[in-house]
Amino acid sequence: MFIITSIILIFLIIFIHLYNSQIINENNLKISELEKEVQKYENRSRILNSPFTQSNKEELESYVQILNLLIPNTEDFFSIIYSLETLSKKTGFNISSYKVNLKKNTKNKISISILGTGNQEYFMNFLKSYNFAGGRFITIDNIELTPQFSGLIKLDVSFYTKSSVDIKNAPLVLNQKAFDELSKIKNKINFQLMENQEPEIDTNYTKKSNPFSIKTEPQTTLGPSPINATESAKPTEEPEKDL
Amino acid sequence: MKKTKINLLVNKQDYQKVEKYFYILRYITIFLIIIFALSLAYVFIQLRNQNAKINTLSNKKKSLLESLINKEEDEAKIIFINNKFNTLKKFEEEDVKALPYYNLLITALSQNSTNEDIGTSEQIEKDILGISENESTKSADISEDNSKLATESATIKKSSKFELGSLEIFKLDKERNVEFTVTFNNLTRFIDFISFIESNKFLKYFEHLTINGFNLTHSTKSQSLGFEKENYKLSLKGKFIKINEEEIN
Repeated sequence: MFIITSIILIFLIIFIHLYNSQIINENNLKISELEKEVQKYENRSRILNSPFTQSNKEELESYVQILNLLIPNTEDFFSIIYSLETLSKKTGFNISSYKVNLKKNTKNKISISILGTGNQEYFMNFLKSYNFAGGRFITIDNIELTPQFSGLIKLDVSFYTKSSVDIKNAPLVLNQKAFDELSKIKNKINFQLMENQEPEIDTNYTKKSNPFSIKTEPQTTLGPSPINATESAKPTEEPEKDL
Repeated sequence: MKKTKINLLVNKQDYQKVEKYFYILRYITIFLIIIFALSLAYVFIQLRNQNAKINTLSNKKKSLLESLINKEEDEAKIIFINNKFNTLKKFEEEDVKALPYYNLLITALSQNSTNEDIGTSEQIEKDILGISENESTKSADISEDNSKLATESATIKKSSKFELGSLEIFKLDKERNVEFTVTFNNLTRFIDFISFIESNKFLKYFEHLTINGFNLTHSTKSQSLGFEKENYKLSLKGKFIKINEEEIN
């Protein structure tokens, strides 16, 4: 009796340990995964609810637009021309011609050679502000002033594009330095968000109540006037013409 | 022969032996029962603790997700801004950043021996970096000046004051290799320039600097007017060190 009981007890103990150790290990894995997820969400919550983020919330949209302007997702040659013209106007350095250097172009970069004229002051203005003042991000690869260009300055400049990043898998990091620099850049390019404004429609125009009549009624402003409406809706009687 | 009698002495010894073994077995069984009970209790407590922890973490995750529901847009914007900004910084490294180097040369050209224009090292550094009190660009004034550009046919070559030197050739690439040629028509100014470029104030901005050529020419126009004018042309070639605004500030 005791022998059988002992054997049964031994088997039960072994079985309990084997079966439950598996469940315990699965639970431990589940707990570690949950802890990682909670830590990730806490990090996100800490960043998104931080005082810095809250105070800069309104600026986020403008910074996104600025960066899209400076480095767009796809190349747009009109914005390149416009930025060179804007830069020319803002700095006084007159850009007289430009051509694309096809050999130096890459997937994310367009290289353009420009020729410009300007006195020392205007050229200094240009050198101080060429990076952002045109509305596109510009870098200079090299500068050349030689007599063969007859007083013109030749600059090889580059414009950049970069397609959007996969936001779902990208880590969330709060870079305060980036925001500080972006606010300085925003001041440099005097970026202004234009609100959509609908043009004002002039409602003060001549109108005909009877589309078949030749006479036009005098100008009236549109307004609710049921009496006038019913009277003007009556067709005018034309005199009978003898054939 | 039938056994009619029992030898109690011999049976008692056998029974005592067996009774000893059963005694041990009984204690082993009791011990195993205790172990079994403890194991059950241990497993029960362990599972209960784990379930409690899982519930706590799940609730915490749920509350965090609820708080983040309306912040997806902000999160996307922040990630976008970080990535694009890092890209911008990476592209910025391709820039020649010519302003401090150009300023250095212009500062050198404006040196004179009367010690009025030779500033302190700090002032020269500020001039080189283009740091001035009024940093704002006067775009309105510049647009007015634009209309004067065509009539002035302004270039960098010659300034209105002939005493100052002029930068005739200037080449700079993003590796900071530089070639420049300066022209003076005043010997004193030319000597002041040479003194300045030989000084530590100028040379400390170069990794190396060598003279590429020197020319002395006589102006034909001035000869026809009856007096000689000499032009001193000096060509130099070298490489700038990397000048960072942050180091100065």
